[in-house]
Amino acid sequence: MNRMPLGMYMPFESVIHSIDARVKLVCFLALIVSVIITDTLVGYIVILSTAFVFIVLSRIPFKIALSCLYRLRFFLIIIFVMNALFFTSENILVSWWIFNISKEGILQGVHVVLRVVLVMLFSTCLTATTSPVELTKALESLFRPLRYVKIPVGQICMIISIAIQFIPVISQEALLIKQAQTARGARFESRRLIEKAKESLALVIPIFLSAIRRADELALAMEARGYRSANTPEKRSLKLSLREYAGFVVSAAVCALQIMI
Amino acid sequence: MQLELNNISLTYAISTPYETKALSDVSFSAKKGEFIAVMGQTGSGKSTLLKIIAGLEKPSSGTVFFNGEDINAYSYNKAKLRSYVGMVFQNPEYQLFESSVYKDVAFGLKHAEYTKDEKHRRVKNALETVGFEFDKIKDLSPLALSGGEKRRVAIAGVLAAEPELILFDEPVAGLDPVGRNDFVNTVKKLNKAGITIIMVSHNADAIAECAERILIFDNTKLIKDAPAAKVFADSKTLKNIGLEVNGAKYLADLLKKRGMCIDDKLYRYEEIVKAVAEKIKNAGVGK
Ligand SMILES: Nc1ncnc2c1ncn2[C@@H]1O[C@H](COP(=O)(O)OP(=O)(O)OP(=O)(O)O)[C@@H](O)[C@H]1O
Ligand SMILES: [Mg+2]
Repeated sequence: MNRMPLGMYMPFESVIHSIDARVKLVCFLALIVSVIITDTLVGYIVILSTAFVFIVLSRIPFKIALSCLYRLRFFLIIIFVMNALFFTSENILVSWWIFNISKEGILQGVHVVLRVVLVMLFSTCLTATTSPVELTKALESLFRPLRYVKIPVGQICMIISIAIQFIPVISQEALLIKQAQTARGARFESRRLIEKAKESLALVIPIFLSAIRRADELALAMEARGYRSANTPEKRSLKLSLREYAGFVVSAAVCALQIMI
Repeated sequence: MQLELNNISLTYAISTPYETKALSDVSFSAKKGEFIAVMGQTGSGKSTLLKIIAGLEKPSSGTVFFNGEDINAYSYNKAKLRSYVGMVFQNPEYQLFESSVYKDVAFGLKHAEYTKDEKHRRVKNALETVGFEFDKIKDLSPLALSGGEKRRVAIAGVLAAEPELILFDEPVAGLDPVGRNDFVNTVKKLNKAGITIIMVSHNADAIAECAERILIFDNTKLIKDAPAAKVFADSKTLKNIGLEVNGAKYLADLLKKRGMCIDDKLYRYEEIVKAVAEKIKNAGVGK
């Protein structure tokens, strides 16, 4: 585990970290909409610089932000090549067998890649600056109105937040189990697929067992501490300060700009 | 068996916000037949040390030589290392998964080219070493056993490979006194048979019963490497780094405060009992 998992929370202190998670979520949605409707050079420049500013403000090291993109490099290359090769248009530059390379195709590829990159950057910015607990609480509070249509928002959010909190615990345990089985002779690095699948039982079964054991223990502990499923999510008042307003204004401006140009 | 660690350091999650230093500049070596205990507070890097020796974690810097070969060299065959070095993890009972005890113990032998008879001999031998009756246990589901039994099965799974060096991480944590005694007797037996043992434990009683040499870790550093008698003779130093002496030695220290002089070098349960009995006899108490 010597590299950073995608979308991991990074506990720094920054302006972006301290903005209310609900505001961040709304701004995030606005920015994603902007990314989707952008299709001019100016638009991309505006939105790329917005992403740049957000990353600087959130104090995420550039190395980490870029490493997320680097890990998706093959995916990005593939979507670019697919778009460039298969886009049908009139002014074809090169044509061979079923492949048609055209100016529009290449442009389309660039568009798609840019969009994915931007979405990635914004999501990194969101997940790196908001702890999972904050994020689920924000979702819970944004979805509060749904309880009027009998959707158990509180419980669903409880489930999500427990699941998220268990991810690091279970992945840590999975690593330990993998090491333990390796120490007694398992060969997970095997190249042969069948062998690999057989070997993976030695991982999957203990990990499942431990997840179930943990779930059991947690349920007992929650009951022992008097948990009752509360159907009404906790109400949290939203105090907007300058930071939150600034966040709203910037994302709204970017979004509006994209609609106009 | 010959093990040598030179200036080992390890930092987890390097260059991320979660960067943690687990070991800094640790060097020591171990010879065949030694019984080494590792003590230290929570988070001092003990488990990490064992994983490095077993070749499961790569040190950030420093080298590990096993039988004269660098185990992190590119050309080194790690699979070979696994058959020489066994590691029993903390709570090894969670790694069981096969449908029968026999299969689970034999799991690690799958890739080795042993004949069926040889495999059978090894599994039987391993299960008997940890105190099971082979015929009674071999077909049971490992998941249906009690926690202590599961742990013994897991240890048998490591023994079946017949390693030269076995690393134990907290092997007695969570065992009852009988289970602990059984374990201590088992490792002593293994050690007598010539297997080198390195055991991490918080349990000073277990350590006092079997270890000859003690390594003490404090905050990622190896701060003491001395014979067990020497370490236990100096209970003050142990206390200063938040560790405790074993029960028998603790009693001896108490008696000493009350004026009964017991040799500082004694620390094992039996030695102390004998010394105290002698003192009482000499003083004529209880006549
Ligand atoms: N996989 C990992 N990723 C990141 N940090 C880790 C990992 N494993 C251990 N650490 C950290 O390394 C340090 C040393 O851990 P280690 O498990 O070696 O301690 P220990 O001495 O065995 O403690 P304990 O007595 O609690 O078992 C700790 O601060 C721990 O949080
Ligand atoms: Mg440990």
